[in-house]
Amino acid sequence: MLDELKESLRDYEANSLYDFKDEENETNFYREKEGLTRDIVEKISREKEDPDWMREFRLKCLDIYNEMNMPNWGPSIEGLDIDKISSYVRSKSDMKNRWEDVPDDIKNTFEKLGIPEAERKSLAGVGAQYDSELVYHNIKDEVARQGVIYTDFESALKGEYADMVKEHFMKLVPPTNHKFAALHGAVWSGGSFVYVPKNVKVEIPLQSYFRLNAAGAGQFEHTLIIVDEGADLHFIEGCSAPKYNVANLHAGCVELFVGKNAKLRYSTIENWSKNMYNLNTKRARVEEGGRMEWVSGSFGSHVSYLYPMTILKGDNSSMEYTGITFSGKGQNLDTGAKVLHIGEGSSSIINTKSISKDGGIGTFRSSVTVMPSARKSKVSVSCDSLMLDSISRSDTIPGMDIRTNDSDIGHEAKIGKISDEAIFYLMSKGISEEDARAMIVSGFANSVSKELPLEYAVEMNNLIKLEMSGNM
Amino acid sequence: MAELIVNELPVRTINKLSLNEEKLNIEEKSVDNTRYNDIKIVHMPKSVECIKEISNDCVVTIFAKINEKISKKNIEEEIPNNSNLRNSNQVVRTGMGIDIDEFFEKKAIRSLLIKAKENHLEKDVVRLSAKADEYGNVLSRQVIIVPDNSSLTVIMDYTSEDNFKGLVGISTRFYVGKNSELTLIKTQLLGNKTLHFDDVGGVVDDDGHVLFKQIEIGGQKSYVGVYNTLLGDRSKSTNQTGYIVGKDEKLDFNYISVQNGENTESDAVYRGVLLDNARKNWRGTIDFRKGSKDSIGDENEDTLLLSENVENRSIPIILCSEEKVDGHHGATIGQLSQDMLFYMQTRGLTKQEAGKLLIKARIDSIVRDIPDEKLVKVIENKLENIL
Repeated sequence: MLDELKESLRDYEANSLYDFKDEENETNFYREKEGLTRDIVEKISREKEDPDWMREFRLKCLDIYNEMNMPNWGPSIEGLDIDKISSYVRSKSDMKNRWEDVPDDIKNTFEKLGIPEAERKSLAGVGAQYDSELVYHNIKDEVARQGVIYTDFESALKGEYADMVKEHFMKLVPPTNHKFAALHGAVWSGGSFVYVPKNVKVEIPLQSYFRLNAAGAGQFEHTLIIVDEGADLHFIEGCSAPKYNVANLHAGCVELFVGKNAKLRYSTIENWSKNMYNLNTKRARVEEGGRMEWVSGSFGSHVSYLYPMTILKGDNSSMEYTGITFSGKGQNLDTGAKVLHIGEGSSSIINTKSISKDGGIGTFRSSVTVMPSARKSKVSVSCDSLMLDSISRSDTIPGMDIRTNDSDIGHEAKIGKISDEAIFYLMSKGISEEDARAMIVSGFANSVSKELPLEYAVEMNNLIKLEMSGNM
Repeated sequence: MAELIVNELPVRTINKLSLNEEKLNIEEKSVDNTRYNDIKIVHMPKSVECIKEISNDCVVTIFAKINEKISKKNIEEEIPNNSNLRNSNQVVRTGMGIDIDEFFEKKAIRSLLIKAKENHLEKDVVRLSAKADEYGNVLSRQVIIVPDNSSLTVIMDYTSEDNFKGLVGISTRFYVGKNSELTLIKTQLLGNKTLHFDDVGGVVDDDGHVLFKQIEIGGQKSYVGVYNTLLGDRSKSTNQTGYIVGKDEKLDFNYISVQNGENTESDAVYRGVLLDNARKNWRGTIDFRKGSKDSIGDENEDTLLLSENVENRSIPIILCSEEKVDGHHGATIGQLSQDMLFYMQTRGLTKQEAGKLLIKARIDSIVRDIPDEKLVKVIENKLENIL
């Protein structure tokens, strides 16, 4: 088994699974100049043929961005200079719904990432974004026949669902939320819109994959998912980028509306390159009896601020967040979750694992607020951290604000090292120390990987193996 | 009005939680135009040296060697992610922070030095008492030194007349030498109109142990900060805090345990009850610094919320830059156990009696081994009145 593991590691290294890049030039790509000005925002708006309200919204967001301060907590983002970031880069080819029609270089990228194969095997629909725009979008006929809408965001903004998009766009994450939400509002591009009608259960997942290929660029996709009453959806988000020596920025925004008695699972395997500033905002609102499930694996980025938030608005609504973060050399990953309990009988479970290695900094940060109306609510927060050496760092910063006496709140945090006894035991069975440590870390991450579909669990385990061997 | 920024978190977090720091407003007239008294020495064992009104320079001299040792251990390493580093200029780091030092300096309040003799092992305790009344507020600073191979117990109680609108402000700094032990007991039983702050900070050397026991039952607004630096190898801190907050009272805590030495141990228990319109903020940090290998940190918070209108904010932080450590935090926040209440009712108690008994048991578990029977009785009476 270990030989197979080593073999697969070698394969991954040989193929440079995530760190490969394609040349982008003026012939096949359009690139907006670096920086953030009113002219640039207006130009993006014209380029995308925005409706008037969106153009005005973008400009309002730009004003808010200019007025707001940088966050005064969290990892340093001093290395991020917005004047050196191009906020809009797109292929000159239009979006296709057949892989054969996608330009070869871009298609090859997604082939290497295994997206078309995954679509054939196990997905109900796929959206593939390359830099600022989607290059491929498709949904299986049988799912479309159920009335499920899965389309690129630009089409949704102008098509049949334009009013629904306008009603929901940046309502959960208002641009005043923080500086990078305002930035997103000003320059957003790409992303997906999903609508699952009442009582429709989508049996297999939809997936959007975001690839940022251009150096010194930003990706600002917007994902809006509305799961109507009694409906059920699993949505998978994947992201990666090749490594450059200049900073890249990802400031996407995800807004999820979970209807009465509906269920949405949102899974993410994030493996941005280690020059990426990942300042992503994700938020869900759950109505009566609805359920939101987050599964999150954070492996990439130089700096991450990522705390998916759930607003449990309806009575008896619930959420579960399961996350793992692996911080390696040169990484400062600040991740966690936020939850706001409003509905009576609402419940939330936050369960995270954090691993720090080779000087990486991992921080678990959370915020749990229980409002007076959330009587009979239940909260359980558990975070486990593993330190793999003494040059790394692992911090746990969970905040709670409880405003009703009629709730049960439990919190538990643990931090520690790999048990010497466990390593010794495995070594006594003929396993090398390095392999023993990798096996223990995989076991530590098991509670997260078991929540993922098989293919993604395998990918996550491979990422852990790569991180453990220090080859990423 | 003096506005002090106190009880800052060692690392900042999401502003919306309102836990990064607290503003403490002190009406200047309460400390300028009225008298303020030092804490009263009720009993000082003969074997303990006591010097009144030592200057800040003197405190700097006392802690010079200790601070040199701290620098050598490089414990002021930078904590990433926007740490609050304002406190680094303090002579002794305290939980409430540098604004309290500056406030005392501005008021020219000097310190009371309490120093046990080397190899002092007497059980006789130092007994201090602060009472705020029409004759004045209390502003007092103490420096407690327990030299090598010694043990010392210091008990302080704070009281004020009901409806007395005044201030009881205390600062206690300590050093626990090698193989020594300090038991520091503070009981706050102030009237419900009194403003209170209590700022504590100290350093524990090799094989030293500080046991800090604290009762907070009263005061209109109370601010408490504790900063233990476990500098020496095998040094240890034990915190036991019990509190009841009721009416429109507010209690704001900041506990920090920095573990520097190898094989250090911090163990903390916080048990409390919120009634009526009470508000409580609790910050607890275990900070494993580089070099603190084989250390253990454990903190447990247990809060009962007994009114619909209470607000409870908590943030239990673990910071870690050392691999071989074991840190743990557990918190339960909620109501009395229905199973336990039911069981007690089956034994003939009314629901109200059962509830009262369970609340008292929480505080009693911290109060019971205070080595001052009279004080224990006073606390029990105060509890009885509140419940």
